[in-house]
Amino acid sequence: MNILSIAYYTFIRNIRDVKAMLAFILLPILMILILGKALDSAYTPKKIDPMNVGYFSKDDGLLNNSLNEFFTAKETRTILEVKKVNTFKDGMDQVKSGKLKGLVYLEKGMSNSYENGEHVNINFYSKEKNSYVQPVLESFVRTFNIGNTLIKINGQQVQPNSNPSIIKEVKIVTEGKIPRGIDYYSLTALFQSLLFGAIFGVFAITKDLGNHTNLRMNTAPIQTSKIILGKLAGSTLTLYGISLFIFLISKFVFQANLNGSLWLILLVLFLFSAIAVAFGMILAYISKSTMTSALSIFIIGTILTLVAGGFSRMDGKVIEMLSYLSPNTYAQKALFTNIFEGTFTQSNIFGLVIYTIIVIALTFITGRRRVA
Amino acid sequence: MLLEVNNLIKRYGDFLALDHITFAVKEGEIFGLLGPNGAGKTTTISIISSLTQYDGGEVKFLGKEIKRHEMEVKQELGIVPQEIAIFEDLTAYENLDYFGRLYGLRGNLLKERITEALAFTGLTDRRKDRPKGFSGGMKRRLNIACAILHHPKLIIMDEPTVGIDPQSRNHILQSIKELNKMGSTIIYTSHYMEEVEEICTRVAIVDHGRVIAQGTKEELTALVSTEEKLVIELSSVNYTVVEQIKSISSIRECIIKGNSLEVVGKKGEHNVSRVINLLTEAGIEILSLNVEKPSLEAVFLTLTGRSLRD
Repeated sequence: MNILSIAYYTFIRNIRDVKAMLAFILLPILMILILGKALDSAYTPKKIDPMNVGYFSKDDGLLNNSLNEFFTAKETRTILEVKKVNTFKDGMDQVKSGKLKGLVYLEKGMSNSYENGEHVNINFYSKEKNSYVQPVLESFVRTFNIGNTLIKINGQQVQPNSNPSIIKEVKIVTEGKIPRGIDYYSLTALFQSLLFGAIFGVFAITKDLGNHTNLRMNTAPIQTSKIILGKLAGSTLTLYGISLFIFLISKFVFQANLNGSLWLILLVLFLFSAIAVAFGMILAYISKSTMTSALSIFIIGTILTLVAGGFSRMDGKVIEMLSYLSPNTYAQKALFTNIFEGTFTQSNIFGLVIYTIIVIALTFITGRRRVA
Repeated sequence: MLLEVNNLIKRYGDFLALDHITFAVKEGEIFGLLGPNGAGKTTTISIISSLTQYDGGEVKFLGKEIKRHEMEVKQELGIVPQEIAIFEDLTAYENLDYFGRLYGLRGNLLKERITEALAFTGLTDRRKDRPKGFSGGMKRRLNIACAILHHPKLIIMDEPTVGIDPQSRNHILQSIKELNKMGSTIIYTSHYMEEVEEICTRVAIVDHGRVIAQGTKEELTALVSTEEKLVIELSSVNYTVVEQIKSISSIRECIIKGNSLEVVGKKGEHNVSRVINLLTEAGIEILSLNVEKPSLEAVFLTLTGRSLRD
């Protein structure tokens, strides 16, 4: 019950801080508006000319026949111009020289393997990392094999004079759903702002140091862990409320496409709010200073947003590795894949949950140590 | 004994903040911890309140070691910190509600206690206001209200009158006396001698982390006072009588100040009656007579060789 009292009054004190509340509501809204509108062209799909793609199949069964039908279908031909090549080598040479944008290749006996229940791959080779052929093939696989996961697309990137057997998984945006600028920044700017919302965690600690109420709380018959939990809960509730408000503004005022699973969205926003508040509390426990903590939040928050592609999409192995240190990565991926691909990626949610547990554990460790 | 502090030691690195401090507080008394800034009063209070760990000795509350019964002991303590410890963004009522809940008060009992604490501190009319607009004295009163609403057995007040106007100071001192009359035991720390003299039943004088003397005010002054001073206001001054007074063997000096005499002599030698007899026989009217006793300031000065506010 004491935890609830602390949480309640922490929440009340937060919402009475009109300046902070206004800042944390207006900041993300402005960011979403500015980034979303200014960079919208970078995310708006342009008219696509049919892409030249080679097709070579050593398979002569069901899969080959179905894929042939798929390639000759009217809808497919509006985006793909499929040309059969005589040999695999011929196809790869044309890909390397740029005559073909990619090569679809079926191995011998694939249909039999598939019918025997084995896991088979449709191979796709391309010089372009983000070719939209893959989503098209994904679409074929889904149509062909609804609810069956036996077939998977292997995205393989071909470098001139490189070994074509090097396989690289390429992220796929399926079903033609591509986020617009406003969609993208509605989420990335929201998560960035929520990271800055760590200041509510800082306030929960430093305000009590400033007005000496920490003395009174620490002399009350209540364990330190309950005080920490109460403050964490109250501030998380504040930030969560702000995040939901901004989410609704993005969805209904800015008309951003945020039509994913409501429960998933609520869960991700809640976990992320808890991470941000806990992060702020850790900084406050260590520095015991609002200014130092705020500065740290700004610097660390900006870096975490940057590596997660919050300002603009970034490529590169190092960046990709670094991005997994950022909670924004898990949150953004979880929602993007859900909203734009219609899928539920457990790994991102799992990553976010683990992240939350670690940060909250660190909050308790630093909080208890500082008090003792 | 309600509280027993035995050979308490506290070190901050090489600095010995508390050097075997020993004292005991009886139920129902106002116990003063008197000493200059940095003497160790607040450290002692912090240890009793379980805010600070100690390096040696023991602290027992109702016979229980506070280290082992921290929550139990905390429940029975009411702390009035030296700093005003209230939420500026919550109303007076909400402040009390918040802290009352931390002490396990709920429902009607909590409401009753809040009403009682507000009335006791004279803040009923301001219960819906946030302390931002309160005067220093009102904030101090709210600070006290937060500490007493759970009816603690021992109230610890760490310099509760620092930085406030005389009127609010008087109000607080009266409140402390009233709390004591209602049965509360109080530990009162201060470096204001006159406050301690006015309200405390027993006093421990602390300096450099040690208790250098303790007892009732009378016991303490008896430690150092061998003389007494009479201040006598007269209708007129007769120099012959002054010489007669000076000739009394137990009188050290007799100074004329206008129509008054200041007579300093050994204690316990019946100087008052002797001087009155001489004046009466000479037909001099005594307008007033005051026997000045040694103050705790003098005690502190004698024991430490320096003034309390040095």
